[in-house]
Amino acid sequence: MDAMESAAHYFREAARLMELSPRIEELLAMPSREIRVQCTIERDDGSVATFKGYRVQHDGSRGPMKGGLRCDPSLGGLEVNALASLMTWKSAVVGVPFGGSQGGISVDRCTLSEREWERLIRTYTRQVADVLGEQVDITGPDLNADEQVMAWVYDEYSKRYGNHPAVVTGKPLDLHGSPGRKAAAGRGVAAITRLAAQAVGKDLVGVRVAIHGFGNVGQHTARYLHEAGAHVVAVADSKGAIFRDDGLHVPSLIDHKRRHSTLDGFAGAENISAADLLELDVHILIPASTSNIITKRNATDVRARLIIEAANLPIDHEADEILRKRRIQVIPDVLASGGGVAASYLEWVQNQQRYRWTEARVFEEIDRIMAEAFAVVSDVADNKKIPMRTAAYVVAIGRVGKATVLRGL
Amino acid sequence: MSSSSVLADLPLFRGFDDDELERLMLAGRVERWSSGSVLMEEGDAGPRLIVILEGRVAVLKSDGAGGEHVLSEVEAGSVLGEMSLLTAAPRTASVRAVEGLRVFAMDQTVFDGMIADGDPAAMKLGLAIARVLAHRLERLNQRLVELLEEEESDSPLHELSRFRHELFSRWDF
Repeated sequence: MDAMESAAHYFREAARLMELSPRIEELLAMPSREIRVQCTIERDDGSVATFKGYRVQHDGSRGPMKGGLRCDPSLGGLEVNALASLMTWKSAVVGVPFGGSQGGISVDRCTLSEREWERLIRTYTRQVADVLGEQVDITGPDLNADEQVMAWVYDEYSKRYGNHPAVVTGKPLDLHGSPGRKAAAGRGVAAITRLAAQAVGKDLVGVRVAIHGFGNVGQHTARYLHEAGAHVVAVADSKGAIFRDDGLHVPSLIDHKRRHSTLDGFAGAENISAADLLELDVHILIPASTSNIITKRNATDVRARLIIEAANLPIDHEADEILRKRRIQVIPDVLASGGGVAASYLEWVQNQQRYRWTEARVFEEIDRIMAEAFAVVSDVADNKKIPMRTAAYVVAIGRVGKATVLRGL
Repeated sequence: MSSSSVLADLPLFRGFDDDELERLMLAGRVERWSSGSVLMEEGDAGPRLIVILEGRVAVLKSDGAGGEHVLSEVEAGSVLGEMSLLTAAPRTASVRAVEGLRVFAMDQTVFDGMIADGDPAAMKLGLAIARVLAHRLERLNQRLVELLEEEESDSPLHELSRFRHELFSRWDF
């Protein structure tokens, strides 16, 4: 099933619960503006190559729109639309004053040289520059768009409009980036995990955790949970998974992965399959890799009692239904993975202030933002007796809706 | 049956004593009209109060193209022209007898004279008319509210107001 279909399903579920009229539902679901651009570059061999670029601005009622730049050969307009709306709901749940947007280029990064890659990013930036702006639409990193890409976007935009570091987040620390940004998403996931465990009367000490995905988010999540006393018993990356019943030593594992680019060969751990990891006897399962990891095919085999969605849309809506029936608590992506957008917001704030905060201050703010978001969503879930996911969408629709009606049409 | 007792039975004259009713009867007059006669013509001046004692009348409004619409039919006990007694404005509608009629009629000039003399009967009549008008205004207000509510529930233009109301009540957090 298409992950984007699940996103639309979750939105509609909350919209129906709130008894929105079809016209109000349409008002909230339809993107405010969709742009397709031609990105043509001269290749190193002198030939010409053209790529499709996108920028979709979904909703700006709560503030400047915010969304990453995704570079993927399979990227299409529909996916960009769905991701833009997901950003609207995520910003609203997390409570940062941003709307939602998404950009992208339909390109296979591996087919371009470094110089061609830079040319493409600069061309794309020129093509969408007139709809970006630090008070209009702010871009940021996403799949295959790292901090170097953000530096090029910043530079290209600034050539036309002057120095506007806040038009893009996720910049390198040496170019208006924010301390703590790289760890922010994982820190947010760990904070939400602690709060969700507390809500069912559990301390993190000794709690058994499995993490599916060991990139930036997975690694930082694992590190924070390890520091809090949890036993991270298994982790998986794109190549495989490892398991140790009494808990992996996470700092050594991160070091191992950095040096060998694989989990394989980590001392004291046994190899398992990534699929096996999802069915381990653990308290908490954290999908932190990609979408559609848990589907109706494996949802009945999950043994964890709590799932924290660190990735976007890791559970499709059929699996979500099964997990609800099995009374497995799911903390949804729009809440759990909100540390990233919280950090983007803090970088934007610092850029506007022309003042750099300490990492400690950034973390303090992220912890506060995530705790407030968790409290609001769990209150709504308790009061209305609905799942956390539905509650998160209710909060998001409520906040976006309020901003829309207060501003007027 | 004394002529004043005809008025005594009507709600408009409740609380008037015999003496007062007698004076009103003397100030006005009882008229008989045959079916089809026009008692008042829309746009006419010459304001007067008419109380229908017997029979039925139709209240008519012209449509500006030579046609007429029946606004309502009113029966014995009803009061017509009471507004003109206070405002002296031209008639806003015509009144035609639907069947043989007996009415009590009083010209505005006579009513004004009684008020100027401080006649308690005229004062009471003024107050009674004010009450009739107040009740009518209340009904109109109620109808207006109903109409507005109907419009609100039918019209997509008010979807945002309803959405706003829901957001700040049921879905406020």
